[in-house]
Amino acid sequence: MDEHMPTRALARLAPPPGGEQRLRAALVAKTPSHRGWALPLAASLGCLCVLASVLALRPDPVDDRIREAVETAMTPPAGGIRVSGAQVEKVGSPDPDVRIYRLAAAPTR
Amino acid sequence: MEACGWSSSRQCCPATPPDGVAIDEGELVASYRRVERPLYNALYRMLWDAQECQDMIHDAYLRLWDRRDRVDPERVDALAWTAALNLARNRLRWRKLRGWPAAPDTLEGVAGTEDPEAEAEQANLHAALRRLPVRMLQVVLMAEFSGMAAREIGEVLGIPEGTVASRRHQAVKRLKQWLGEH
Repeated sequence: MDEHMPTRALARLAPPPGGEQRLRAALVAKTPSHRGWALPLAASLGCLCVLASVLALRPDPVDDRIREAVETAMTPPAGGIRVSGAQVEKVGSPDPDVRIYRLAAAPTR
Repeated sequence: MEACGWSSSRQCCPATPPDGVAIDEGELVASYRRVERPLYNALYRMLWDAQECQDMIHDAYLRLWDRRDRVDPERVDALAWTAALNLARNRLRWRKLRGWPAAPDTLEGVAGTEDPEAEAEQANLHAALRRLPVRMLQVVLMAEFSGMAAREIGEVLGIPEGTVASRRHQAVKRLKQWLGEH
């Protein structure tokens, strides 16, 4: 390339200042983009774990209702059991702690 | 096939590095320092807009950074030239398609513009460059500013070395004719 170049007379221009700083700033802005999506992803996974733990540890409302119904059924009434309009006949029980009664309608006159 | 771009073909893009080669931020910035001025001088004679030229160089280096895992450190400068020239060529195509008016030559940053003779010489030279086809313009500007040999210019532009020589010869011939040199 020893041909005489008319372009040899072209002035050597200086680029506008600040190009390198702009590039460095852009590189910095681009570099955290890896963490940029990693942080929200980690936060989302954390929230999912917390939600799953809460759901797993929360008492089942159906279980609560059944337990309450059983307790109600097992608790004797405060004033004892009174029967009216029926004949009560004691039936023998093999367990001394258990008393069994048979109710029969009172005979009508 | 002029536009080498970022093809993975080694034939098109000999700068494709072997596996495991990558550049870091320091190498990229060092390349920017080496290439900014000559690349700016070449791009300015294509786009005639200082800010747009700087934007092209900036974007070219960001593209390199996006592909840093596949960039051979020894080829960073050449790839920056390739990317910036591709961007500039696309920009010229875009301007042409939209009937964008040619940017005025402000001789911005030209030393000695107080000297009417020097100013006239630059203006004439710029006017002649504007008349050159882009494929020739790129070759003469790279030959003038990049400091690369014809083979390297060919690699950057994606054309054979012989084509570089013939385009350069044609360009110089036309420039001399338009400038009244013989």
